[in-house]
Amino acid sequence: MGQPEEAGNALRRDVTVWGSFMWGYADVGADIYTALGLVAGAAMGATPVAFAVAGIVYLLVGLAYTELASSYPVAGGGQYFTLRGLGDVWGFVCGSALLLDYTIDISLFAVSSSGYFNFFLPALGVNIQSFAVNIGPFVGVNVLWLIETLLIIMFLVAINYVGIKISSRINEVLGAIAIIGQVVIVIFGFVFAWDPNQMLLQMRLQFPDMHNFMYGSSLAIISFVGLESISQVSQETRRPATIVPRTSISLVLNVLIFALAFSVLGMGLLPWQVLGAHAGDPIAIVAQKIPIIGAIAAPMTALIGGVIVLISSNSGVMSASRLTYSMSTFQLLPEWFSAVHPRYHTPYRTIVVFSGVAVVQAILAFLSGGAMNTLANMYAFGATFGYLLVFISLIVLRFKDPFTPRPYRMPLNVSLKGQGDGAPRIAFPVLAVIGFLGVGTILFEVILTHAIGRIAGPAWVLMMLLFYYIYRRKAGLPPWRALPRDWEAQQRHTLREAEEFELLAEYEQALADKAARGGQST
Amino acid sequence: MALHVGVLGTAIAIVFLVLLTLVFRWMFRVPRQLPYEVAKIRRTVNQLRTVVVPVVAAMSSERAVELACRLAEPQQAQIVLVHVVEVPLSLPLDAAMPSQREKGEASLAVGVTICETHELKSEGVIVPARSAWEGILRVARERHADLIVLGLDAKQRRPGEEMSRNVAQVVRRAACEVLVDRPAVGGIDKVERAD
Repeated sequence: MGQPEEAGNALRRDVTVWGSFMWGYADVGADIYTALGLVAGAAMGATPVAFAVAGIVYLLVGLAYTELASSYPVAGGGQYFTLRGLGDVWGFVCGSALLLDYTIDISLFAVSSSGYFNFFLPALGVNIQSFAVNIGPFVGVNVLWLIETLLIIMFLVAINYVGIKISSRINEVLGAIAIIGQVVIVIFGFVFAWDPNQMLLQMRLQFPDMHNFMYGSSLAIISFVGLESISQVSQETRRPATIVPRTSISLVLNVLIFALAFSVLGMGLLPWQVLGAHAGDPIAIVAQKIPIIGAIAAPMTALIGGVIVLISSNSGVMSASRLTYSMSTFQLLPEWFSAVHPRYHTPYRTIVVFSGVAVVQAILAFLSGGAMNTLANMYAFGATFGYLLVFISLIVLRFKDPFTPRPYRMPLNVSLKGQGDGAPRIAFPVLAVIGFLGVGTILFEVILTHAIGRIAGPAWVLMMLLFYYIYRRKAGLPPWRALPRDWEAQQRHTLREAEEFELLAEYEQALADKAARGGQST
Repeated sequence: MALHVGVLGTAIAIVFLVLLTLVFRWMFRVPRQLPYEVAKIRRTVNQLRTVVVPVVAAMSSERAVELACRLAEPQQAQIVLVHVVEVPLSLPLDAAMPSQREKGEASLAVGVTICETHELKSEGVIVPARSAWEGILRVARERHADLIVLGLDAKQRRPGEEMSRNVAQVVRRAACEVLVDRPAVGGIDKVERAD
């Protein structure tokens, strides 16, 4: 029976309020730096509308994660919630979809981070283009950039290996610098340069057709991917049931505020064509247009961009390792992955192996010019597919497990009668249904408009599923059936170990009431 | 580059900054952590869902309603106000006792008003019984009460007794928790005399 907390070496709770927030921000904060240009290129004059549409869906995803992560504060995030709600196979499928995103997070943002830092090389008299070489059939492979990327990944592996405290501190400091920098750009931009007429004119005269708008809004969801990281790190967060709802909701609001602010600011400063043409550095182009700070805007934005994507890559290392650690403790992956380092209390094997997967992805990205596009397409598929399963799990868990205290509950519920005499009433989450439909629509848009994502994304999940089938057969476990697990004992242990004593007392009372009524299994 | 300060842009910048500040302020205000023993004890009080309070035309009983409301407020428990019409053995239990009922209704009305000031759900019940404690316990049993709050009226005590007979019987026989409020010496009496 897979019980992660009963293992000899549990993960250590070293993450604070700011740390928890920054793990999410590290992941999401970088996305606007790449998404703004891509979305503007597709959604044209309706760029802020595309961000708002994706933002509404993201808000619902955020509320769902807030409820689930605060109720079940263990590593695994969406994969764990789906495992509890829908069983082993779907839990594995959700985990695979999210793992796809995390490994892409590591590789994509490590490439991007070194790219931002390369901005400063000319000042040192180094021409980055001179390091491009031909290797067999692969043309123009930039060796220096590749080496920088691999060094960044190795650095991140090293700091994550020795403890979440160090990697969390790095996130906290760099993230604070990045937020301050973004605030400065937004404030100066709106006060000194923003032209509302230019934005309105673009919205009126250059609205995209439906296909482009759908493509734009499905790309905009990329800028909101990353909330998962808070859930992944909840097993290492102090008092997670209290802190996670606060940091999740704050992150959702922060990212929404920044995404809307940057898209509205961008459209009021520049034509969408300019933003679209600078998909690599849209925020730098926006910043350059701002008086007073314009002169130092480009290097400052490059620095902030480099820092943000670096911590985003760091967030990917942490999340991929915690996700796979959780999957192995529940026997969805070989048990070998669940080992925790006796000294550092980190899942060192998953850190090394899945960062290795990211290294392979990064090398492929350098060998093929199209690899970056492929990665971005698969990124949108992995996130929307995973979120879809999380919404279903949230609804199912409200019926299957009404006893677990929910420090935060998604609003707008319909009260239904529970099963059996005296059973607690079920709060049916209407917003989760709306969220499911919203994410389903965006997944449909991804499948309809992302030529690579609709093939490569499902192919990854199927490949992982094949690996799962072989592992379960070899281990003598039923491949398609859920293993029996004592969720109640695990929930008690989690709450006690997390020192969430009020919730523990509430949970024990609910179980005692259930036992008094004659019992009913969760 | 021309310096252009826009009113609308400045307003948006201010709103942006205020929103960010509010979000971060809320995030950092984390409620304090409770030790397990404290959490468990708090939980037992939070479990109180139905509170029965006997009412008569006395300040001690109204004060008991107020105390019960304060205990019930955090978890929005229901208050059941009971006035027992004591029927002498010489009369049948269902005998009409209009003057006593009238007094009871007046006492219940005061109790309901106190509950309303706390925005709590309340219910007034007049029950006939041979003795007050019997009526109180019957209602507590029927309503699955978690707590009975009793106000000790000094005037009803016999010399040398700690509690009146009714209060003593309720304390002895009730299945649920019982809370007896004995006012400070001369406390309520002082106020009553001033009135």
